[in-house]
Amino acid sequence: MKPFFHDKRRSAGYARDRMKLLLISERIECSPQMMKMLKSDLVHTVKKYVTIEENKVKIQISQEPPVLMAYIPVITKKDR
Amino acid sequence: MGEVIVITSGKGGVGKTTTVANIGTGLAMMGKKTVVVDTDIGLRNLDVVLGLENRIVYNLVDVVNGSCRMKQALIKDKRHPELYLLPSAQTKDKTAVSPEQMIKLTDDLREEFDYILLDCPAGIEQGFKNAIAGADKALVVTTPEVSAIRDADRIIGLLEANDLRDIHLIINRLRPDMIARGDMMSVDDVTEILAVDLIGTLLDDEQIVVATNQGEPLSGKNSQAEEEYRNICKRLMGEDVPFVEIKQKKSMFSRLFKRH
Repeated sequence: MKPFFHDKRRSAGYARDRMKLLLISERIECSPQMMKMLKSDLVHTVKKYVTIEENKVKIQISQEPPVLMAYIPVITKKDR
Repeated sequence: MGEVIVITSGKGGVGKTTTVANIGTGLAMMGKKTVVVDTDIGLRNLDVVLGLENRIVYNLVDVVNGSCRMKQALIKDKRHPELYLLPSAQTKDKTAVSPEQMIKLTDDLREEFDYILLDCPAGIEQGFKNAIAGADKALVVTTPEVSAIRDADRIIGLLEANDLRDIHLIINRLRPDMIARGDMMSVDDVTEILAVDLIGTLLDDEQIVVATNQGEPLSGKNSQAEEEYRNICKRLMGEDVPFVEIKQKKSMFSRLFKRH
């Protein structure tokens, strides 16, 4: 069904999100491709020790100050 | 001792030269002895924006080479007794001047003027390096577009790498109508992305084009943009001038009944 009102998130929102991601990767000289590799390496390493929900892993770098944050949900015995 | 301020952007066409002309004129009108320097060697254009193109005899390269004295190259704007222009050379290229020579030049100008505004060329090559060499402060001009913002961020990084940390942001060509409907990044969006101190927000204003056509910046029509240029001057002089909220001027009804 088509919503009555237009999507509030118009082009400016996309521009802002694209710029934030791009400029962070440029400032730390880490390309989106390298971020992907970093993510897969992280997953690979953590998997050696604990069971994780691999498809829910997120990594992101905040702007000021730049901090690398990884969200890695861990599965406990009870969940399995 | 005067203050040397470089106006830069990375990307071309965002309004550096217009900004220099307007801020320079504004400072002079407020009684500050000001010189605007066109450092874009080979692509002279600050002179036409100021309407002084017919009075050029010597230029920046002549001064640096010692072909003339500083006083001979400086053009005094007859409309504003405190405003001077040091034009760039049209026949030379950017390699005609070195950063060391620019430092010497700006130091000489400091003795004479309260404010020395340097109009930086677009790009990050020799011309940019020359323009920032002698500067104490940088004003980075951008527009709310992805291309200009990306280049501004790169420029900010390069300025910091060159130990120029007194950096302030001017956002040019804002369109309140587009921001209101979510199709243009807002002042808050741009300042958050670039994370530097904001010193000016300018609307996309026809009056600025008119003033440039006439070679008369701040010609007194009192448009919103002219008012904001004056506010930027006051902020440069240390006054705490609040920012005017960027919003649509006309109500929905007045737009509906606008005559065409």
